[in-house]
Amino acid sequence: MTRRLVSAVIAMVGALLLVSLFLHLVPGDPVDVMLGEQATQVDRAALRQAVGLDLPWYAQLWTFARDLATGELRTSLPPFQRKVLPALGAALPYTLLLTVSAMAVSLVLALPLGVMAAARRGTPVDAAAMGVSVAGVALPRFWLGPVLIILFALKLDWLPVSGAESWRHLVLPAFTLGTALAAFLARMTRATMLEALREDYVTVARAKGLSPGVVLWKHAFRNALLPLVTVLGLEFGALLGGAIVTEKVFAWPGMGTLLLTAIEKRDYNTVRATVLLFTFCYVVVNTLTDLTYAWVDPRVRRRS
Amino acid sequence: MSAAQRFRLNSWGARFGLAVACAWVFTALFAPWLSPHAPDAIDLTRELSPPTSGHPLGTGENGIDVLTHVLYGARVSLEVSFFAVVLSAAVGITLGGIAGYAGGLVDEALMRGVDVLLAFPGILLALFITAVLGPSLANVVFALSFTGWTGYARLTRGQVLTLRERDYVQAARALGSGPGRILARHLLPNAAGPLLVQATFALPGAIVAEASLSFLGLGVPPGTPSWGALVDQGTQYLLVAPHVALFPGIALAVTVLGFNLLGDALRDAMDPRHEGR
Amino acid sequence: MDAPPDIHLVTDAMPPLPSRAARVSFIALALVLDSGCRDPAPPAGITVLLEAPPDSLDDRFALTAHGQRLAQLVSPGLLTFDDSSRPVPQLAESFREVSPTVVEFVLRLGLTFHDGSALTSEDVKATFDALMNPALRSPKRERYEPVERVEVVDARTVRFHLKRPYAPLLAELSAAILPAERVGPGGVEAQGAHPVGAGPFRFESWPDEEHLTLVPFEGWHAGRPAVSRLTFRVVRDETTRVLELLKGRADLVVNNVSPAVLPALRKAPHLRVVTKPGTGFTYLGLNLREGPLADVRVRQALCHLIDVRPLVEHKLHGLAEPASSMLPREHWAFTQTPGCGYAPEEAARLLDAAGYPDPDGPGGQPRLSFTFKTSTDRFRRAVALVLKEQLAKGGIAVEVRALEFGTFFEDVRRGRFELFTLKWAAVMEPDLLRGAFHSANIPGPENHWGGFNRGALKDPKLDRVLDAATQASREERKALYAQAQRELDADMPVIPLWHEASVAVVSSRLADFEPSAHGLLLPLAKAREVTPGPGGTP
Repeated sequence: MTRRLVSAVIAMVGALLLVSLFLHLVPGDPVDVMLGEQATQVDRAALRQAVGLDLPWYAQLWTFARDLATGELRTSLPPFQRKVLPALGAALPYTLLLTVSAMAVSLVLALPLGVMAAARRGTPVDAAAMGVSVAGVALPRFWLGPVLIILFALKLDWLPVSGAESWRHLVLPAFTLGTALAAFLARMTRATMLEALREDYVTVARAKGLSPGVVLWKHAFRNALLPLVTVLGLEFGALLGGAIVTEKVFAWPGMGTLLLTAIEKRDYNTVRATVLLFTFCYVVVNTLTDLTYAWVDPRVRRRS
Repeated sequence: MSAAQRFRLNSWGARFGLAVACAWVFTALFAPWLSPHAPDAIDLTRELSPPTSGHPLGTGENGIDVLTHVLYGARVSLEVSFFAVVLSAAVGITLGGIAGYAGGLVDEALMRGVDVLLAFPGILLALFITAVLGPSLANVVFALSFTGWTGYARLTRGQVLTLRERDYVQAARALGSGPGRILARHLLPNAAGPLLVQATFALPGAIVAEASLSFLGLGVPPGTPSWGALVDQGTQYLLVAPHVALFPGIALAVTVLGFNLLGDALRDAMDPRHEGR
Repeated sequence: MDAPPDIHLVTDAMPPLPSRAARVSFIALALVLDSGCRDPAPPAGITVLLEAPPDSLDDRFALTAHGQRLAQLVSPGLLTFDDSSRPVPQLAESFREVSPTVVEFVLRLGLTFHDGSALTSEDVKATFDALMNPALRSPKRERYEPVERVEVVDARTVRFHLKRPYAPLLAELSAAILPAERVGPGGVEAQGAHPVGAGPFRFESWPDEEHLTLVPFEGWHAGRPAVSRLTFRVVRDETTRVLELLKGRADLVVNNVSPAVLPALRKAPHLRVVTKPGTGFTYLGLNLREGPLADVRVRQALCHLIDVRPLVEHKLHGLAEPASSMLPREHWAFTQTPGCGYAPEEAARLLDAAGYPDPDGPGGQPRLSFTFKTSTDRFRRAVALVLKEQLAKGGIAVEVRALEFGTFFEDVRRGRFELFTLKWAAVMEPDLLRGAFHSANIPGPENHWGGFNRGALKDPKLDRVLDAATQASREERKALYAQAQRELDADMPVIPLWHEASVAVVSSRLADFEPSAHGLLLPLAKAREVTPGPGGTP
């Protein structure tokens, strides 16, 4: 456990250093980006000083860490340096809601597809299921999102276009974000199911005369679940990243929107804090995955 | 049966995948001869017009020919994804091999580095890199490889860890082979199968990633005929000119589909347990 | 207490929740509970879509165009600008120049703030005194440097005494007038949390960055605006904004939909597109510091090779006016200069004379090559490609590089470019010419790289004319700016491309919205909310 904690901390500190390095390298600073092509003169030096841009990078990083620890962290955007944590706190639930829903959507789509394909390996059913699932990987989210909006919000008028006011607003973004994972999971399910179906206990169960459905779901599927749990954990990071594009398309007020805006504005502190939170989510989910894995499979538990 | 034989036996998926891959490479190589127009030909009077005989797939922004850009797009996607995969694989296999073979502190340090990159949102890294270095094909390749190598590193490390205790490796060590020689002659060739499968899956991943970067405005330089850039401009005009996003979208989807099926077939072929039925 | 206010946190809607976990479940729950099968009705009143959130509603601190335009709705100033950029009274009833160094304003009768208190000349004086006080730390303080003092003559009359004649100051006197008790550093927090002004709309709530609501103010001097409520919503993606409009869930966007998608919006029965010649100025910037572009003949040749008309016709769908000067045709200080016009033969002659002959006739090797930087904005990239093609025909090879905005802008400010395109958002005060072309405003360490003369034009004659214009009377200024525009036409430090029209897309629920040339939101005060008849909504 200590080992896991140490590597988690390393990952987070590493991510913070990496993002700070990039912020240092990327040209442009918050004051200039904010002013843009402004027709009137403003006091840039004072604005820069106000947000600590006159300090060397290591001092800025130190101030960041200190302010984060005390909860006093403010944006790098003068003159109103709003607190960063409340904004992050407001965005986090939205992103979690979106990613978890996307994961649910993908499971609901993928498991039946994958199991079906495995059960009828080599038949047109298999081909069709895999064809559908692979198409999911192939559609970029920024294309799928608007297409879904045009179809379901505009032509059919079933769902709203964008925003986050009710569960109805969640449907399209969750589908957009979930399809790629669904496609991947369906293939995973198929592969693991095929392996499970070859195991001895399945043969035994078949020999005992159990119905194919029982064999498929009770015996094979349960054992195929384990690798899926691991994959889900690993894919969560990808899902978080994908949420950035999806949130932009659907004006979903999550961390991705926060992060893109912060990068555009060169709001260093918000970028750093959001990246840290992304990393934190990833690390937490992976740790949870490991724990679940150990819990599900006693062999792993004994080994570690 | 050898892997090659099993692969040939392997059904429609392998054949379709192979056909798509060949068509893709062919289009990429011969785009200039196949295209009806020059990729940089501009005709403002025909902007966003639907398919006609002169422009079988219609025109896009600035009146560019969509068919020409779809054909040339194969070339750009080939360049970007091929080099991204090669660069990722080269770096990942080297580092993963070293980590797996050396173990100890080296292993620990490299794997923590991998953790950092995996935990960091990949699209964000790519965004930063292209923002710092500016848009060019080479920088897109670099940006995609920056995180892409981690998958190979993990895989290689795992393979090396299991293989290095095998008898023939132990024997080679006992006979005085150096670590570099053991890695290159004994460990990596045996890890090649899974790595090839990984690369086949990474290729379409890189194609989609290039498209996503274009959506955020940080893909290939303006005017470069790329599927991602074309889909990107097409999404803006979905309501007035849906064909702009449709055709490159199809090209993208079919290519990705083909490579995934190819990957599946390869994986099945590599794994002796997956005997064809 | 002078800690910066925490506007972001202010929420009337919900009490703070105990923990993050609780908050997650709360939102999940809220989303589920709000289910039913009903399509949530659009919020009452008028919904306006913005592409980015305002930075502040306090005009003294708002630096973005969004912030300033929204701030004007809540807290307008003594005067504003009409479509020809002439100053016109707003809270003031009238103003006049008593002498070259004294400007007098008379306030309208019966002005009140949103909190019910009267707006008097004491509030005006307090507002400007506070702005000029370093303790307030307003980034706009420098602009009031020429003001010596503000004098209250009587409850409705106030005079500005200047240290020296300074004509452009009038533009700065459009700053928001706030209640005297709120203007100091101690009032910044209250003003940030719940802005108060004397504007047509009263602040209601700003629960998060994405939403802002205003309600009409009964005490507005021109009468209560005929809109029940204004909801501003941030939708960053253009396609999504268009779709929201088509779906009938938004009533207004101003200048944030590109011309190419307007045909789709025009077809919708419940939407109309209203336009007006605008003041946004798009230009091709040139680096005069070194290389071929330091030669005025090369700059003029480039100008002769560019044909703006097809761009305006096809890329902007006619919603722009080819520009000959930074000032738009409607501007009070505009003068028609000969301009360069599309003349490829003349360009070839100029390039030959400048020592850049065509090495191998038309086509083949270029005479010259440049890199052309632009932002990643789709429209800008497309325009850059058209310009590249036009220049290529004249033997000028151009490599287009699209950079993320922050990077791009930093390069432009630091002089790391050969060609670039940028747009001035709204050109109102002609003193901007001095900012953009006076040799004292070349970006450098002394102005913290904030000078606007990015191409580094040095023309002592132009400098003198522009300096003189700051001290002259209005009629003299007009003549001086005419001279400056002719001088710039000859120098060609930037190639003027076009002035973009102001384009508003308005739903049938909003009548009488007439866009402002500057893209302001103030016309909302004169618009009417209507209940559309049958068939009016989609």
